[in-house]
Amino acid sequence: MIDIVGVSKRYGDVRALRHVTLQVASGELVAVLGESGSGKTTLLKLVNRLIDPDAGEIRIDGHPIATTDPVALRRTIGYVIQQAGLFPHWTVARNISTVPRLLGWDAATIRARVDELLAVVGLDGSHRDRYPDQLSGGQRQRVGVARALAARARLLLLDEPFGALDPITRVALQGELRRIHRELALTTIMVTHDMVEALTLADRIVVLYRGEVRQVGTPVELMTRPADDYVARLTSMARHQADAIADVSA
Amino acid sequence: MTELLRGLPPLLASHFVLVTVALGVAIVVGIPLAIAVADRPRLAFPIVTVAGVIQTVPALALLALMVPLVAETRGLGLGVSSFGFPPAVIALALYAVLPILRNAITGLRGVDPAVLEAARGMGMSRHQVLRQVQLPLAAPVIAAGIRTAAVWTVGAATLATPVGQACLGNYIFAGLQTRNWSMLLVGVAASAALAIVLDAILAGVEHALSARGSRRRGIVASATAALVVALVILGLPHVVVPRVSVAPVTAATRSERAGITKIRIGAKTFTEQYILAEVMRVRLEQAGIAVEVAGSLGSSVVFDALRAGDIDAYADYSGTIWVNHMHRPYGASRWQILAEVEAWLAREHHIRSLGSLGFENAYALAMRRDAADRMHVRAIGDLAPHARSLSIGGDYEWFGRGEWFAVQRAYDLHFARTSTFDPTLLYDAVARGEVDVISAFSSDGRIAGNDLVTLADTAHALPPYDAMILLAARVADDPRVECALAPLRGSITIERMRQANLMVDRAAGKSSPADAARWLLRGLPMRDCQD
Ligand SMILES: Nc1ncnc2c1ncn2[C@@H]1O[C@H](COP(=O)(O)OP(=O)(O)OP(=O)(O)O)[C@@H](O)[C@H]1O
Ligand SMILES: [Mg+2]
Repeated sequence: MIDIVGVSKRYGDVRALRHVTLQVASGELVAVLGESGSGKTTLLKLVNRLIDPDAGEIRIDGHPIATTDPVALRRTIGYVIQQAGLFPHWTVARNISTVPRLLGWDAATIRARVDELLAVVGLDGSHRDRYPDQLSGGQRQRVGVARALAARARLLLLDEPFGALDPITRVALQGELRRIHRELALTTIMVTHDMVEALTLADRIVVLYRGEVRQVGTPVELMTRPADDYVARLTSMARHQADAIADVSA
Repeated sequence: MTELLRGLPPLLASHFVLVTVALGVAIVVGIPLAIAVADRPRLAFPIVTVAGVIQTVPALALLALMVPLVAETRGLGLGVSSFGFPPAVIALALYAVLPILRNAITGLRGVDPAVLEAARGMGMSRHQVLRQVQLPLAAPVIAAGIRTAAVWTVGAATLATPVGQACLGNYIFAGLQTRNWSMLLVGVAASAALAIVLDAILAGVEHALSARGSRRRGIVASATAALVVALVILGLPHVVVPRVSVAPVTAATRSERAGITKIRIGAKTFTEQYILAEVMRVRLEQAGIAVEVAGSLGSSVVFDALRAGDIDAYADYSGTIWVNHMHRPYGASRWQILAEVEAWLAREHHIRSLGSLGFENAYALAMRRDAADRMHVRAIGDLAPHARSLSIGGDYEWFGRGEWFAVQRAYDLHFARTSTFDPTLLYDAVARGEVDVISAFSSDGRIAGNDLVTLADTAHALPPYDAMILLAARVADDPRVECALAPLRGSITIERMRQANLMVDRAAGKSSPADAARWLLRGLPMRDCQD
């Protein structure tokens, strides 16, 4: 579904991405893992053309996106922004209906769709007319996901959707994301810097380090056959944490 | 007081319209400009700088500058009048643009870039990002700029009087010049009240618009727009024809016969001019011609307005035209100047002079009678030995005028100190001994009122300033206008003019300019011009 081929991007002296190649199959949930500044957000923004690459090509369903209209392209891709990025002057319902309105859906369809999505992300109707500053962090993240799903995009880009949440909310939302992804048959790229989140949620994991892909593989492949020392350090850290927890509970 | 307040509604209306239209223009120009340059610092900097420089020009000067500018461009190529509303609106709009522009740029730049990127990421076009996200989020800052501009403009608009636009400034200028403090107070209080009310309305609109709930927002926006449009339309009649007179508007008597039925009279910003305008009004209305007085006009504005036909008549002084408009040297005789000025006006501008009214309002040096007696000073030349220990006061123009240089040269005067005063304060300053000598106007009533003496100009260094009525071509040959105004030639002596000026200027027992005008006309043998 998504073909990223030899893509590079630099900002002045900073080489944000170097020769990144990645294929995401239809229906797959791919996690992009890396430390801060490794180029994760840059990779996502290349897919919906918020930025354009210096070299390489990105194709969706075989069509190079460089030749598509970026505004139209973005309306077909659900995008959950780091820290939710809700419009502060709009209610929850208005935020969720952003893309359907841009696409010119009629009012009744939009209303129904908003109700449906509130249910999908686990918010009740009382949240409809609240403003983002009247929501908790977790509720805002849910609204961000609902907004990304509103126009029935088949492709979903999530940029650290569960950052800065308490563990209980985070785990609940992770479960819901997995469910939504499967039920709606989405193709999803999710950015995270949490190894455990990547291991438990993703079909495959891409490890970025300073703009380079260090490994692409399933959680099992990463845990059993890390490609290099960096990936090995990441997986052993996750393993140590799990061991430590096991020790405490024993 | 009630008589004073009778003139308020039309002036308030035209003030409101002036402010609203200027503000509207500033918004229509300022906000799109801000949108265009907000994310282009290299473009924004020069534009904001230019707007800032315009702001540093005093509003009075900016307004006065607009008159020749509009005139030179032949009404901006649209043929609009260089008198009154158009130059006033342009100047005030220029003045109001800066706060609107600067706040709009600040507001637009202040929107969280993450939110803007989210908007783009959702698939909004540039235009949609602007309209749906950036502008609404910048709105409070933009609105604050508009409110600042509104309050400034209400204040600055009072300065539109000298360019011929009726507004609350008419009270302020006439009040200041004739030392009618209650009149001044009415103007100041009304404009302060208008500023407060306008600010409160805008605050209410701002609050309603930022309130959450889009239905209410729409209602408030359209209701406000409707209200403003309605008020502007209601006020418009007061603007198109500047009805400047602060004196009660007498019922216009119209003649059924052909010929001139209505005349607009101009007056500069001092007492004598208000009185002479009223003198003309009384005579013309007796002849069945409706009269409108546009008072408190700038000296060059009133001349240009007559040339352009924006007013039909006013009184000017031979020396003013000789020096300011003909740029001729001093030293000619009184009658030669009068004759040449009249010929030049007719030839160059088709303006008809009705001849000297009989008195001069010339520059003269004046001092306290007791001081003059002590120093044995009778003529300007007698000052020469004392001048190095004396101070001289003058009005705003005096120390830059040719007369001042001519006097110094002719009598070899070197004063210890010079100080500039508002003309209304000049006579008190010399009476109280703050200065020793002043540049006075020879017909000013306060010369006698303050027991001052004018010093003889034996060397004829100061040019003559014969008062004369000037008529625009449109009315110059009308028989009834002729009948009403021509007999005024030679009818007012300097003593009577001084007395009339004093009646208005004195602190206690003041008369209105209209009363002084009737007093002047009393006893003049003039025939009825009705038929
Ligand atoms: N607009 C930009 N201008 C200059 N440098 C940029 C820009 N955007 C990103 N960078 C740089 O590119 C590199 C990659 O940034 P990116 O946002 O992709 O990191 P990230 O992996 O998403 O980090 P984080 O986990 O902190 O969100 C960083 O060094 C960053 O400073
Ligand atoms: Mg990031």
